[in-house]
Amino acid sequence: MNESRRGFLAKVSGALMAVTGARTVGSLVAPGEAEAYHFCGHIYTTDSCPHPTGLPRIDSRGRPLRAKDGHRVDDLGRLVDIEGEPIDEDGVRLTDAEGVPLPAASRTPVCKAVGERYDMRTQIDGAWYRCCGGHVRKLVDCCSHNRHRINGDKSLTGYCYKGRRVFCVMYFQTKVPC
Amino acid sequence: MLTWVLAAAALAAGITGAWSPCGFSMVETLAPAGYAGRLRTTLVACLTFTLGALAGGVLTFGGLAKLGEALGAGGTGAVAVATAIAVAAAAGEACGLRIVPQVRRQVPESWRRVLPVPLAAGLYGVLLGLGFTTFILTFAVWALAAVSVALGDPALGAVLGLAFGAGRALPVIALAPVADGDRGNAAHAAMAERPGILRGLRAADAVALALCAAVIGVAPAQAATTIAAAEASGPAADADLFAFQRPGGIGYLRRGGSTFALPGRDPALAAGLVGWRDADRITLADPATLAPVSTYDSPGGGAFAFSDQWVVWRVGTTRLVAQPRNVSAPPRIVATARGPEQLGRPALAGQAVVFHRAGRSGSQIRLLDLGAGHERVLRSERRALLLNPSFDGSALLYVRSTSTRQELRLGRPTRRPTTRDRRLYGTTPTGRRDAGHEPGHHRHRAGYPGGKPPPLAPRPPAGVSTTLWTTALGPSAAYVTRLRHRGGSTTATVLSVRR
Repeated sequence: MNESRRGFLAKVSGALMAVTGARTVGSLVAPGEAEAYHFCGHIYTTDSCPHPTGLPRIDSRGRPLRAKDGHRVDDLGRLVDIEGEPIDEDGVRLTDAEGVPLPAASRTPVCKAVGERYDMRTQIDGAWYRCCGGHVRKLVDCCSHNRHRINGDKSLTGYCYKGRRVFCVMYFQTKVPC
Repeated sequence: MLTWVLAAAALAAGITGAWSPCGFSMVETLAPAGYAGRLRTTLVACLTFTLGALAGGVLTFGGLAKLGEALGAGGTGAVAVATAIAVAAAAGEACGLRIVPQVRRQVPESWRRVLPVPLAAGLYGVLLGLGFTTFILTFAVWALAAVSVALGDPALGAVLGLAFGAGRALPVIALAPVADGDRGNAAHAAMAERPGILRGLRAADAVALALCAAVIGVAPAQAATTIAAAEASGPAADADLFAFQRPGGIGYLRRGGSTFALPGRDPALAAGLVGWRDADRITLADPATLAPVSTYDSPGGGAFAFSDQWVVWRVGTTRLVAQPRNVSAPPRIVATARGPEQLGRPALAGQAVVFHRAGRSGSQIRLLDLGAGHERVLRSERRALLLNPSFDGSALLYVRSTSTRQELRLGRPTRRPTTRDRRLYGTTPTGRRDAGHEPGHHRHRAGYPGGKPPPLAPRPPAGVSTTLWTTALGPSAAYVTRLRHRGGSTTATVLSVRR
């Protein structure tokens, strides 16, 4: 009898936990919602960090890459070669009409540029990985102690540590297939 | 402001068009008791009529603006003409003058009999929206067409066309569904029998056109940008002289409306003289006769500048060399690039030379006093390029380039932030941004005030990158070279912007 009562209570509590858990997960990621935000893998509404070419794709050092092909871009959004010199789509150095090369520009890590732009200390803390476009994607938060996120409303903890909160988001596309 | 005023004038002009034979006929045609036969058909026909009118308006005014753009419109002269036409049209409207030239044509009556009414309505809408295919009831139509060409801004032309199309559609779709009722009959009777209403509308057109003239006249310098020289770069200006370089070729001097070839490259103007470089020799000459006044050896030299006291030339992109005009001292290196940075084309006034330092750690505009040897920073930014300053002793002109905008800015030659300088001209950034979201996704709205995320920066057309480059400062105009890289080739155009 006791066993059957315990079994019954266990089933009830298990069901309750399952319902609660389902609700919690559901509130985080509604069906289809993971695809609803502005880039794959990002399942909350904090917006992208300002990036020279839009979508906040970064390299392993946090510097900007063009999202569509992972090409390096400088702070002006120009394609650049490994030396940081501006090039065209064919990889040829950009020059003026006399053939004089156009000057290189800075190529600042996106989260650092956010800190300079909004006059606050920013840093990358933790991350999370999801499968996007057949490759593992690292979702990266640009964290600060600001109580507001880039959208203007209240910021959340996200993957940030030590009281820091997510100001804006970025991603690093790995070459690991999934 | 200009957009809103022009759109208001176009809307008023479109509404006035309802008093045309075609306007009246449309109400009759689309009414439930007419060819539509029932209210549902009327409503569908009203929708197709509206879409047609909007499309027609965009075709006409957007197309005229595109034509203006192709003709290089937007200059001071074109803006003055547009202002004058708007004033004349406003006066004509205020006096209720007869419309000339008039278009004495109507839309084909047979369409409403042989085509389904919604289809006929859509086609009628296109014709009425086009503006010049049927009777014209206001001078504003002509004036706005001229303004579209003169301003040469296709986006503005499209807005104007949408407003005009909306104006043409509004009276028809407001009256047609109720045309058979008492209110409809009363409205129709008022339109037909009270000329005061049309006079009032024409007076409103006059006010709107007068406002257009006022706003166009004081429109920002963006509207006063024109092509100073096509296939040209490296501009120079001094008093009423203007010079430029044909890419890969020689320099040219424009004086009194005529353009003369110079016997060298990299033209420069200052102190009432014209200068050019022939191989490693810089020559300064009388601009009227091109008779040499003095020459300077500049081994490996490129672009140069001179004043009444000094000559400064760039060697490669890493050194600036200066020599007194009176050759009292040999040439000496006055600035050297650090590491991979680049030094820009020098600009000179008296003994002050101004140039840019640009590289991966940011960019600066610096002023070097050649007499005292002092050097100081005038402008500095880490994540922007500040390029190719021009300097006349009292004003500093330069290009500021970021990921969201390229600008031509004018300010004082003292140390201060770029934000305090006046923006004379702006265009898309060199790099092309993406949509800000991946395919199948959308931009965030949550958390933003009013649910509206900030607008995206304008971007250049795909496959084209534009770079604002060398500048020149004249007494009434500023000049900037616009480089266009497309498919591996680079073209250059010198733009003129009113100061």
